[in-house]
Amino acid sequence: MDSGDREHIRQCLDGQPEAFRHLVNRYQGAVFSFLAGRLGNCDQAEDAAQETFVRGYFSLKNLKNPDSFFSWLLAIADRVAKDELRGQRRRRELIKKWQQEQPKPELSNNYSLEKAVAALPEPYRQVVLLRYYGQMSCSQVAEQLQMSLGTVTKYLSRAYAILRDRLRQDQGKQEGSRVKP
Amino acid sequence: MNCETCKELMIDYVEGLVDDSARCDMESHLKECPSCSADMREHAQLHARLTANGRHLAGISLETSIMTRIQRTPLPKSRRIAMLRKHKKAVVGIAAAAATLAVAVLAWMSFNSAEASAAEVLGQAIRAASNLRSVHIKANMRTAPRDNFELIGLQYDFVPHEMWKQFSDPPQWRIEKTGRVVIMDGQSSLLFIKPNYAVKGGVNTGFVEWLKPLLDVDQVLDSELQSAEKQGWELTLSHEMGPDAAPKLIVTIEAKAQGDFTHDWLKNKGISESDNRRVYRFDALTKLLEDLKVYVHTDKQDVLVFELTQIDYNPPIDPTLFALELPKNVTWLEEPKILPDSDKYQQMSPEETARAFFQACAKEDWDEVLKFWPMSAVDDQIKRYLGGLEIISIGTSFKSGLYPGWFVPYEIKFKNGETKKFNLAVRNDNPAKRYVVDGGI
Repeated sequence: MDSGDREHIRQCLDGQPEAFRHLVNRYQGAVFSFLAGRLGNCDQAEDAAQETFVRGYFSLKNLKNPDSFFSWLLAIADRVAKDELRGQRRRRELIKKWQQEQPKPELSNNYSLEKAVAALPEPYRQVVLLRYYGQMSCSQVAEQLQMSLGTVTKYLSRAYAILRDRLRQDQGKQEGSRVKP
Repeated sequence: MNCETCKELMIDYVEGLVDDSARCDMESHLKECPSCSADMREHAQLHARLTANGRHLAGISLETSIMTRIQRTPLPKSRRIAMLRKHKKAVVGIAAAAATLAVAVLAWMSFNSAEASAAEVLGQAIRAASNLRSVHIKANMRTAPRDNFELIGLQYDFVPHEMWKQFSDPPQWRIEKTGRVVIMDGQSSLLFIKPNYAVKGGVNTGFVEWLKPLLDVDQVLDSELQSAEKQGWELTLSHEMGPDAAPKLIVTIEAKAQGDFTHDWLKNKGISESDNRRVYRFDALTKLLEDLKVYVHTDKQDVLVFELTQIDYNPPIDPTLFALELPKNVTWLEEPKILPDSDKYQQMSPEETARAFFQACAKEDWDEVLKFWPMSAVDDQIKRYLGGLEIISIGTSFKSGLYPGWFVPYEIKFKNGETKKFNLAVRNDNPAKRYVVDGGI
C-alpha cells in the first residue's frame, strides 16, 4: 500500500471523513466487481459496495494494519455479500410459501467471469481485482501488495489457469443444460 | 524457446512486460507450436475480457452515495469524542478570532446538511472558549445562601451567584453568593462565611466543586464530553433562533447522579448527585456559551435548579475583587492538628466521634469540642446554640453520594427544649487522620 492510503486512513481516524473519498475512488471498482461476482446482480452489487465502504469507514478503528486495508475491505465485502445472500434466501423462502410456481431467475447479467474471480483463492483474487477492476498496472499492484513484480505475474498466471478452468466448466454446464429436453 | 518457457512468459506477454528479444522468441515459437498458440489465444481472450469488464465496472461511481451516507451517519460516541480530543489538542492555542468566526460560519452551514452531532458542537465550543482572557458570570441556583456552594435543594428559592475569573498566570477568581464568598488571589484561596467565619486554603482547595469549573468554560465542556464517554450520557443537538434573531445551537445532556446512593441522603442535594438535564446554548457563529440551565429530574416533574443569567467574555475585571477584607472578630475554621493523645481520637469510629462531640457540647467542654470541630475559638453564638444539649440518639453511620466522609444520624434536644433530628457529616481525610465534624449541625 502506498503511504497515501495510510495517510488517508489516519486522517479519517482524526475526524476528517473527506479523506475517505480517496479510498473510495481507489477501490470502488475492485470492490464492486468482487460483489458483482459474489451476488451476480449489478444493482445488489452497487448497494453492497456502498454498504462495504460505509461499514469500513465506521470500523476503521479496528483496522490493525493500515497496509492490509484492501484485503480487510474485501473481508468486509465478503460479509456484506453473505448477509445479502442470506437475506435473498430468506426472501425466496418466504415467497415460496405463498407461490406454487418457482421464482424466475433474478439475474439479468450472469457475471460469470466476476463470479469466477470472486471464487479465486487468495492471494490470486486480490491481484486480479486490483489489476483489472482496480485499474492498476502490474507494478502498482506489486507496490500495493508489497510483493515483487515477478510474484504478481506468477499469481496472475496461476489465476488465469484457475479462471480458464472455471469458465470452461461453466460453459460445459450451460451447453449441457441446453441439450436437455 | 521451448514450450515451458513460453507458457511461463504468457502473462508477461499479454501484460506487455516482455522485452523485444523475448517477444520475438515467443512469437517465433508460437508460429511453430499449435499447443502453445492455442494456449496463448485463450490467455489473450481472457485478458481482453478481464480488461473490458474491468474498464466497464470500474466506471461505476459510488463516491457521492458513500460519502453522503458517511456524513449523514452519526459516529459512535466513543470515536466522536476521541476525534474531538485529538482535534482539540491540535488546534488549542492557534485559533485566531477571525479564523474561528470563518470556521464557525462554515460549520453552521455544514451542520444543516450533514447533521453535525452534539459532540462536534461541544468540541467547537471548547475551542471557541480556549483562549479567554477573563470571564464574568451571573447565575441563579436553588440553594441555601450561607450553606456550601455545592448544595442544591428543590425546595429552596433561587439565590443569585456572581463569578469572575482572570486567566492570568497564575489565574485569579472569585465566586460569591449572599452568604459566602471564595477568592483565589493566585497564591492561595480564602473562603468567607458571613458574618464571621473564614477558612484558608491552597490553590486547589475544594471550596467550590461544581461552580468553579463553570469559569473554565472549555474545561467544563470537555468534562461533559468525558463524562458522556465514560458514563454513557446521551448528548443531543437542536437548533433554534435566539431572541436576537441569530441562530443558536442547543446541546442537551442527560446526566446521571454520581456516587453511591445505597443511602439516598445526598440524592438531589448537589448537581453532580442528581439525575439532571443540562441544556447548553451556544451562539451558532461564535460557538461561545450563552446560557446553561440545569433541570433536576424527580418522579413528579423536572425542576430548574440552575440558570446562567449573564456571561461576559474578556471583560475588564477590577483586581481588588480577588482580595477580601475580613471582619475583626473572624473565627478561623482550621485543619485539625495532631494532638498529644492523637491515637485515642484516631481510633474513634464515626459514631463514637459524633457521640463524643455532642457529649462535649453537653458538658460545655469547649476545648474538647475544638478537637472535633477545629477552629480558632468557639464563639458565643455556637456556645449558646449547642451548650448543654442532650443526646437523644446516635444512629449507624452511612455513606452517600460523592461525599468522602460518613454521615451519622443523630437526635438531640437543645437547652431551650427544641429537638433536632439530622445527620452529622464527619471525615478523616486530613493530616491528623481523625474524624472531625464537617457539617450537619
